[in-house]
Amino acid sequence: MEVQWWADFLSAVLRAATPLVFCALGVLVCGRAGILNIGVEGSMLVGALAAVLAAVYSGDPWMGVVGALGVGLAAGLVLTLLTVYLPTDQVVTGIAFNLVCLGVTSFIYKLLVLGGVQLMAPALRAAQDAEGAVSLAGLAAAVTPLTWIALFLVAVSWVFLFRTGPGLLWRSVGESAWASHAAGLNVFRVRTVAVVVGSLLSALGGAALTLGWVPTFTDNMTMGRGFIALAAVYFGRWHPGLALAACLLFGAGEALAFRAQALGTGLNPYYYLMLPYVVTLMAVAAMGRSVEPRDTGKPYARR
Amino acid sequence: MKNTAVTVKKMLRPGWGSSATLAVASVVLSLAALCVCSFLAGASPLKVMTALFEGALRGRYALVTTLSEWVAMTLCGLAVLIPYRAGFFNVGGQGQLEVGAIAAAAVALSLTAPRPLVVLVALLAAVAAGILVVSVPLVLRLRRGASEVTTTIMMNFACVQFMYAMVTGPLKDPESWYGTTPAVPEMCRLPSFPPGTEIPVGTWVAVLITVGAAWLMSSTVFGLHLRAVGGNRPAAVAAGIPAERVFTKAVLMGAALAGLAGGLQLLGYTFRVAEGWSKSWGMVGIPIALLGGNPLGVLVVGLLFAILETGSRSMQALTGVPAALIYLFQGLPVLIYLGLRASAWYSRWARAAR
Amino acid sequence: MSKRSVVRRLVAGVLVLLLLGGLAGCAAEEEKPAAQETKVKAAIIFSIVNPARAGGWDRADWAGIEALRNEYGWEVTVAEGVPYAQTAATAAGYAEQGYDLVIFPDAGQTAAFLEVAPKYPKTWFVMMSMCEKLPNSPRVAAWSPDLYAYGEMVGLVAGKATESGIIGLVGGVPVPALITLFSGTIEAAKFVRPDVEVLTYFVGDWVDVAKHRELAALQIQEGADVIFPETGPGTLGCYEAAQAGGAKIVGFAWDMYEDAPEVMLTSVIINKPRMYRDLAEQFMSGDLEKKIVHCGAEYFGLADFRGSLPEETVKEIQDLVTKLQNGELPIPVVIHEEIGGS
Repeated sequence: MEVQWWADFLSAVLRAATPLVFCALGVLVCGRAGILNIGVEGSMLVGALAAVLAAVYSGDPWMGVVGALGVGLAAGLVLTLLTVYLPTDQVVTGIAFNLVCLGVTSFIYKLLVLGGVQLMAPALRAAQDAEGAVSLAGLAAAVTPLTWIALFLVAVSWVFLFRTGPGLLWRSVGESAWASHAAGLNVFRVRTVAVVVGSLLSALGGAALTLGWVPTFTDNMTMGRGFIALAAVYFGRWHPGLALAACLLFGAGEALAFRAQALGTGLNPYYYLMLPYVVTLMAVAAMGRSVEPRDTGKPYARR
Repeated sequence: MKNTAVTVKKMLRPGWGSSATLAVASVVLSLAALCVCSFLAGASPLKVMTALFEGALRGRYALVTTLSEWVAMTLCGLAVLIPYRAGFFNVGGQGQLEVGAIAAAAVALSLTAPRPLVVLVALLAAVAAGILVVSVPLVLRLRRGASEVTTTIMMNFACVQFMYAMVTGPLKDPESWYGTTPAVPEMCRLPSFPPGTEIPVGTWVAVLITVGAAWLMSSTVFGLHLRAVGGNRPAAVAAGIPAERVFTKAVLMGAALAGLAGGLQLLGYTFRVAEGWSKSWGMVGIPIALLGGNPLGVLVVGLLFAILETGSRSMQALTGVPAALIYLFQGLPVLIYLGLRASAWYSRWARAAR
Repeated sequence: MSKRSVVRRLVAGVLVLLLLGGLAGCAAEEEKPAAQETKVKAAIIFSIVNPARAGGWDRADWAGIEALRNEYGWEVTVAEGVPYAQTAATAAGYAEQGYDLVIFPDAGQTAAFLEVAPKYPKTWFVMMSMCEKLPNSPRVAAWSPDLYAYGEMVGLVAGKATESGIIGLVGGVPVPALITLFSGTIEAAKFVRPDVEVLTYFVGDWVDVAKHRELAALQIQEGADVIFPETGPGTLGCYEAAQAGGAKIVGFAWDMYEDAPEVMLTSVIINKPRMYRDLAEQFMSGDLEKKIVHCGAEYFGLADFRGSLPEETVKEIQDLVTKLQNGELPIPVVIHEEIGGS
């Protein structure tokens, strides 16, 4: 029974952490190239709606993932235009972009609902349920493929950013756009790729939230999870592996909040939900800004 | 993040040349987008606009609601604007507002004293709470160099969860069926002014504060220092301006206004702090500050946003166009404004205009 | 261009916009005086968005609204997504705009009902949910479903349908109405199956789909094979958990089959349209008076099972329900306060 409880708990942690991992990567790859991706929440939300719609209309959850990627690409291009080419202030743009996404998704969802569309999408299912998750192999089979994709992408982004030449250049754009420009790098191109990849990952986070967890849509269903991912990146010192650890920690906090009542701890579950933000603030207090890529958030204009 | 503040500050410089024209243009374009969306939703744009404005401006109830919304939106706009000038991007207005309201509720529900005293202490508690909330990002910025953008965002979420914990825990109304504080007693609610008109007294407070802020920023030594510190800090320091003190003052002032907004809304409008009690006033303060550009501009843009917020309900009821479309309107003008402003086309045009 | 003239222009521009809006409003108003005199104008206030597709309770109300509109020709204005804290102000707004009736579909709005009705004695305020006390006003009424009896009906279905002998109840927030309802379910399930175990969890809100899914999944992991969710838009999460974990759902308040056809055992329907029709008939004939109408088991019924259970079990359940409606089942009334937690 005890073992079973842990197996259930762990699979719940992975379910809760998967969307966060995608979004955290989306923030991280952008930030490493000097763009602060505040719009992650909005990209996640449109990704979530697109995933559900595509899956409902095609009947295939993987088409949902494709749909999320398509919309993520579009969101990325819009954000690129605004934050890289014009360039506008990344923070204000991000906040406004989130508001626009909230309006657009709620609007579309409402129209569909009035049109009588049924929004229970086919879900990406785990190979087996948590019953068998008492062994490591069992746990592996008890999570959706998206979780594995997320973990794989963490490894890929770590190798890319810290073990390859292009990754080094990528990070140099985030540290000092001007120096990179002086060294002959096309800062615009790097940042364009970064923002698009970041939006794709954020939209995948939305798909993981819906298709991998609760295959339906409700207004504002991301409920600030994009910002939790942002916190995870800060907490994880802008490193993919540590950010993953932070996402797992925050996922555990969320899973514990669900179980608080069943466990009978008597502590108000809202205190668990405060946890990610409070520990991140404490981590920031301990580390300061020394680890943040230095040029993140600064618009770069060729003038 | 310093550059964030610098660019933003540039846009918010008092009397930002022709960017007022831009602000109007982006608002008009966004309204046009709203019309297109209502058309897509199968409603006549004219009817939608009518319902929107009529729902906010026709009848006593609608007007009072609009004015009450205006109070929060104006104060939250100022809560962003004033720290901006000093180079601090206060994204944390929402958290400051929520905790301010909780503090005011705690006072109003526990203190038994004459009405003016209770109201005064409750509002002071709200202001103090706002300052307390901002002190974390402020100290992290001053002592650790941590970007206030992320820390204020973190504080927002922590504060909202704290508010939920309070209204479902220690401050919960035992009679109630959802997470809420009890309603503040009739005797410590804010009166209307002039008496008998139902105009919330908070409206006057907000207008007075806005005028005060405009005066402070344009015609006082503090305003001068503020511009200097936000514009070029090393130069300001070299000129002997106590930069850190001016910076701190501006940030605390902004947070105090957000906290005050929470207190005023509680005592004058909602009477309860509850799950979903507040609109995202604190967040909307950001677009308002950006489009408004100076305190008086904030007042005007705040009114427009308040009208849209109030009118959206009747728009949905009368035309079937979802009220959620208003979020679109809160973000879109900002994107258009920023986009236009940064575009090459605009810089050519601005140069020609000069 | 001087700074000041620009500011002035901005102000002027916005004022012109407002003026245009206002003028358009007035113009639109003047066109339509005559046609509306005979129409009854009612307003209904929902705390959630999209009531037409929400969890069962509000969907049942939506069916009632459709009845008012289509069968009685009422003009019904719907406000959605109004937080409980703003319900009173919204209701007051409708009263001031001259609506004949303001309808509250949700017991969470009780405080607003009690607060606002006395201020507008000319407007009818009607509560379409559990109600124990009417506000101090001449024009108030309530159609109060006997939620204990409703819970009993759910308990009969769940108790008969469960194979593992474990039933999961997922509630939004432990409000008294929900405690009452779940108590009925627990007692009736025990009545038909003495060894039954009932797990009751409250999510803490009505909307977060992910939280709902996790709590329902937890119950399924603990062995529940029949889940009854009584909550808001978050209900969808429970359906998904049932789908993933192979459990069955008893739908709440309205026929929820189309939301999750694979897992829906049946639904226990609250005949809200009948309640709304009662209201419409009485209002139009002038018989509406200050009262609480207690709607017992005759207002509840089962949706089609659509082959989810063997014929004979369905038959058994239907017999039990008929007996319940006739008051022939000696199920004790015990309110389990303890399930709400401390």
